[in-house]
Amino acid sequence: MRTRFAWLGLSLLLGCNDTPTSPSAHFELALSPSAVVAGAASVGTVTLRGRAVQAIRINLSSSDAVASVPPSVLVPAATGTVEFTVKTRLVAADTVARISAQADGTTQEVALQVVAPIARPATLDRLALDAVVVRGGQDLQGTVWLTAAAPAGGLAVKLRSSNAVATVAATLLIPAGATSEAFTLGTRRVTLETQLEITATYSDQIKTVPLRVIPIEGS
Amino acid sequence: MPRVRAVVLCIAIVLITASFGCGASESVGSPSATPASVEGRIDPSTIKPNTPYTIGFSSLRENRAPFTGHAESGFDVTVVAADWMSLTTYGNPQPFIEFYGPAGVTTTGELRITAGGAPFWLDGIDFYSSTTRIPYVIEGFLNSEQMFSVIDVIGNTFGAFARRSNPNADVPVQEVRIRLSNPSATCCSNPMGVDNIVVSR
Repeated sequence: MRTRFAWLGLSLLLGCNDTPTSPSAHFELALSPSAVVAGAASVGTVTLRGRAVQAIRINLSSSDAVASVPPSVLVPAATGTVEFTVKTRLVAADTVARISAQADGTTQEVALQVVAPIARPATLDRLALDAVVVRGGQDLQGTVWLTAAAPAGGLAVKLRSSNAVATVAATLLIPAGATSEAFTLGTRRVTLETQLEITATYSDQIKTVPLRVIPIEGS
Repeated sequence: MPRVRAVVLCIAIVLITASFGCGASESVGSPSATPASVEGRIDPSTIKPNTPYTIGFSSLRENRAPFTGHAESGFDVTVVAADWMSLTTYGNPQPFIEFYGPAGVTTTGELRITAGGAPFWLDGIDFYSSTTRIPYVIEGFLNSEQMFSVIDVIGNTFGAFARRSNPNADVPVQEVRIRLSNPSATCCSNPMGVDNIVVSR
């Protein structure tokens, strides 16, 4: 008995009274923020749902080496909550790490989005025309948008009409630094309503919009 | 007498516990945050590279054997993250080492290169991916301090090796970390790897 007291006293003196105890209550796991730039940290929080008599040891893990967590945290009974740091490493591609907390057969999991700090090359974002219906013989304006600024030398987008009733320039050059550029679309007179498509292509990206060319009234 | 022995045992246990800082503090399933330090600082201005070496993994003999580490020409290549394997049926030339990323998930694989604490220079690496682009990070450390960091993405080579030179090839290091992101498509797992790590010492 005296030996047990000596052990307990010394353990308390050294601040090591973190003997894992079996959790009887469930817990919640949260991350803030849930998305970080690679290399930055997020803060995890484990919160007990009910009151605990003793401190509860929660085991932590990460599904990917891009994020690392302490092996476990001890949730004090008095506060019922504890925070921990999720460190992330520099990576060149967006990566999702699943952060898990586990105790006594209960597992909670949250996703941490690690965003790579690398510039993404511009590509096609959107193609639009000023109208979806035009009378044959009238001009129309269209616009191509990019996901980022065009690189030095500009970015050449291929344009195409599915029907000769509407004509567009074969190539639209979006100037360096610009994120959009307008173009003019010409149409011919028609005697019958004509449906067609205008397509913009860059690399493996294709954007298509419909256009309806109708006869001029009285023609 | 038994009581004295019990008290002595108790004190010994407590001291051992205290020496380990009341519990583990290492990260789980992740690399150590900083490279191991060595005794004495190295002055980068006093050293120059003499001899180039190519770590080509030529001694790997077993196809698809788990790869955890490799020693060649006085350099050590060790796995930090992901399950790597040796491939003797492909390479630049064969063999080389690779890891798989499961379908639809971006998986991080990482290698560490050291030369027993001695300084060395990283000249270049051959990267490989079967079906994806190759996002990579190269970090160099000297005296436990980060000397450089390179981050880039190689476009899809469709299974061909792509050589990348280190823009910091004139910077001596004691440790290099190569971190690959394997962005497998939703349909299929993807192998990604390295060959021909060119270093000087």
